[in-house]
Amino acid sequence: MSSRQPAHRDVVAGGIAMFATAMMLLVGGIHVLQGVAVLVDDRPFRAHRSYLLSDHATTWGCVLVALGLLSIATALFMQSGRLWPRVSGVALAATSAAASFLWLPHYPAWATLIIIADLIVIWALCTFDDRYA
Amino acid sequence: MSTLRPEPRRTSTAVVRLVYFAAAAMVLSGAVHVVQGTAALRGDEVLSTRPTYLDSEPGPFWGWLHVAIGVVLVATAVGVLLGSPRALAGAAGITVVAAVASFVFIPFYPTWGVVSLLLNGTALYAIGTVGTTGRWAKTGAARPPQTGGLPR
Repeated sequence: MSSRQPAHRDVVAGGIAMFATAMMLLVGGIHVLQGVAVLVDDRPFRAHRSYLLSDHATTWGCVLVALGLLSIATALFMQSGRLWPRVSGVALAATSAAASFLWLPHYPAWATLIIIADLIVIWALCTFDDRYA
Repeated sequence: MSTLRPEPRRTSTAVVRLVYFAAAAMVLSGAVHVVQGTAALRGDEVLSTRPTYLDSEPGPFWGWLHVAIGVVLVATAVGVLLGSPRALAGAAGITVVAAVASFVFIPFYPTWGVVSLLLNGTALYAIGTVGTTGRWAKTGAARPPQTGGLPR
């Protein structure tokens, strides 16, 4: 099974590896935009005055931008065939999802979509066949 | 499927990879439950109160329950990674409990409850798929035959 495989299997496995990379780039880019939006003007994201870190828009903005940049950087190494981009990719996506869940009350729709995208990233990173990275 | 045949090689099997996903989804779900529980314990104003629902506000009981569920989820995920069939069975159980707790939480904060329910559902799907492959129960997922330790 290791050397001779049906062609469609290769295509699917290689496709998931590429999909994982693309999804990470997408989520990373979204985080950068989201973070910049918060840094530029946080008024649209203040639904609850007393909620956790409401007075720390700068902190949130920087955390989101940093998460995004790290995700993009990691995604660029995904096709190298090494293990570490995959492991750190899962860790970053999980961190992103947890951070988004915390941030969610500030803007629920964005956070929900990002969490779903993170879950897809984690699925793709965990399940792609490592012969295709 | 011959990919599931135990054979010593560098690449991990589809089941082993799904075990990682199940564990990751459980850890994420655990984190999310701790967040919900903490918000309930702090009496955060984001949580809405509905006069006739439960005790009208998520007090210490629901707070600690969610924190406990989160901790157990993470602990069980570690057990699943270590290849324990019992942990896998426990994972299915705690994920169902967590999903029910998420549903109950929905009126307090709908988006959190729905997202948390979604995470638990996803984890349960992965756990179920791993559990029904059969091979996992014999060898332990994170310990492929002959190699030992974490698969690469």
